[in-house]
Amino acid sequence: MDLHIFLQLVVNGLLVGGVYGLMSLGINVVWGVMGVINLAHGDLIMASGFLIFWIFTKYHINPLLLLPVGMAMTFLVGMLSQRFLLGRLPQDRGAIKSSLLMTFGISYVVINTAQLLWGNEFQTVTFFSGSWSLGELDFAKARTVAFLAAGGITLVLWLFLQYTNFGRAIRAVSQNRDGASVCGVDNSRIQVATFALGAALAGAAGALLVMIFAISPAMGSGYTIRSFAVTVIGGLGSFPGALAGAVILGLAEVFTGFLLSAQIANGVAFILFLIVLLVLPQGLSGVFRR
Amino acid sequence: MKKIPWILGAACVLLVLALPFFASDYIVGFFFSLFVFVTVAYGWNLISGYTGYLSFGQISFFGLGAYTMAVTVFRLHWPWPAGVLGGAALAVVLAAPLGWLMLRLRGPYFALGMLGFVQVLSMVSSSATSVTGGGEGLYLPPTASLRPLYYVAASMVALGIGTTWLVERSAFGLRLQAIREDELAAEAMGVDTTRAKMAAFVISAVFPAVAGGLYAWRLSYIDPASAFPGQYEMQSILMVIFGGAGTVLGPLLGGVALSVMGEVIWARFAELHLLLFGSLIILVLLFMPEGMIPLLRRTLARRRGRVPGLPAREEA
Repeated sequence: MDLHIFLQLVVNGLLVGGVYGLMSLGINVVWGVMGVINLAHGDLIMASGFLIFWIFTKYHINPLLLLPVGMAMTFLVGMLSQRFLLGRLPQDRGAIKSSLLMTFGISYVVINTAQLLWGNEFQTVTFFSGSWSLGELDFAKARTVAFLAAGGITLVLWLFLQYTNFGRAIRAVSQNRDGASVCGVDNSRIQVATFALGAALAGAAGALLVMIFAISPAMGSGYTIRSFAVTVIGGLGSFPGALAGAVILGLAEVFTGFLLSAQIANGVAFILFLIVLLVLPQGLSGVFRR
Repeated sequence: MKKIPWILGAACVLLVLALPFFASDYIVGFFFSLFVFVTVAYGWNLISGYTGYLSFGQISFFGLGAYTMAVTVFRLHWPWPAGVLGGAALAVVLAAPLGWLMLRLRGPYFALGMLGFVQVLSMVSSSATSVTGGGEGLYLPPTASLRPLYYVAASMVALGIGTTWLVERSAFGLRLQAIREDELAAEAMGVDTTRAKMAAFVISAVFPAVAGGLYAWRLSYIDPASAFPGQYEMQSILMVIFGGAGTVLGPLLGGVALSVMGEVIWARFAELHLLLFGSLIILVLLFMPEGMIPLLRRTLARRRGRVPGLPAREEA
């Protein structure tokens, strides 16, 4: 492999990694604050992608402008799920198990709804075609736009969590639920907001992914695993960790796709996830903290 | 009163044995697929119901069994019972190292790890074209007779019930339940948790593997999508939690109830299957988290004048 191809693959991996980072933050925040893994995360990504594909083919609106629509839809689904379903599960020792099973059930409801509305085929939105060249390297327009948008949303999310009162409340609950409650934070409201926020991030990621990859109703679990793997690689609750993990996964997938096959690239997330859990159970951020 | 469950059980066994001699092929086919699902459900019940390790990937062994069957029959031209046994053997061979790796992960890590493992296996099956036929799949010769398959599937259900019954009444089963309730405490009490978990995992892998083999032989075609049907995973999980996770008869009861309901009501809404089953999982978790068996047990105990809430051993 010559240097040029190598650098080109690095560029592609970085661009995809940016979107993976945004996608994984949804799992990361919900898990960190509520101790719940949303198994329907990937399916919400898929649903948002399909919604945007559907509006795009009808009205030919710039898909970036549709991104808030996708986010709003998944936000609503997330809010209702937490308020009426997950929030009603007993909070005992079996809580993790029942919430996993519950989101597993929700994921199939989402899949089937998408199938009914939009069919079973692979779809994609081709809007930003072509690429920009920088020296010898090509930056595919769709991927670059998706990367920049993902970076922007990630920054906004970070600012929100860092500097707004609501963000502080969310972080407080993730550090100590009872302590936050004593300080007057309404726990159940924070949980609803957090879950909806995680779902909205899935919606944003779906809107960006549909511009660079083809999506189908069955693809959800692959993206749930990718998001989870990125979170595990980076370490729970760490922004830089999540971004580093996402870049690692993006690079690993692009390189395996090039060297072996695209099908094998789909399994990379799982293999990275296993390696990290067996070797560095705290993730990358654990290494840095040491 | 004490004899009623025995009489009922014997009647069911007789009915299942005699069914192929008078029922139509359609009915026998229905019961065959019911038994296949219930077999998968019994496997899941052992690792997730008793041991508490939620697995969303037991279907990987189903696919393994399906492909073993397809390859032994299609490529090696062995008789199909060899495919069934081969699938079970391979499941054990794969589950032992996999369990050793995965069972050190707990809670959501294990659950998502197994979900990822399904993807890896389905990826392997679609790229190892020379063995599995890749995306084009493998065609098996069409089955001449459903009857032998039906009896094997029925005996797998019996084996599932028997194994679970033995587990429930053995020290091994107590160890598993101790792990489910509190793994750390179990370890502190001197339970070799790794050994117990691995044993449960390996046993639970055999059931879906055999079910997958039977299913492939009946379907007479197998490709990555039909070998690792996420829908079946969900269906068997629903059967277990509907009937009662961690009970001997739960998977059977849940399986029968859901299959009959499915055949009567939902056959007309085939395209809504996932939606309905997904919603049922949600409803069961909200309104009947323990499942039907504990509910029935309590109702029976109350009727017999026992103190409600106290564990009453079933006579069955």
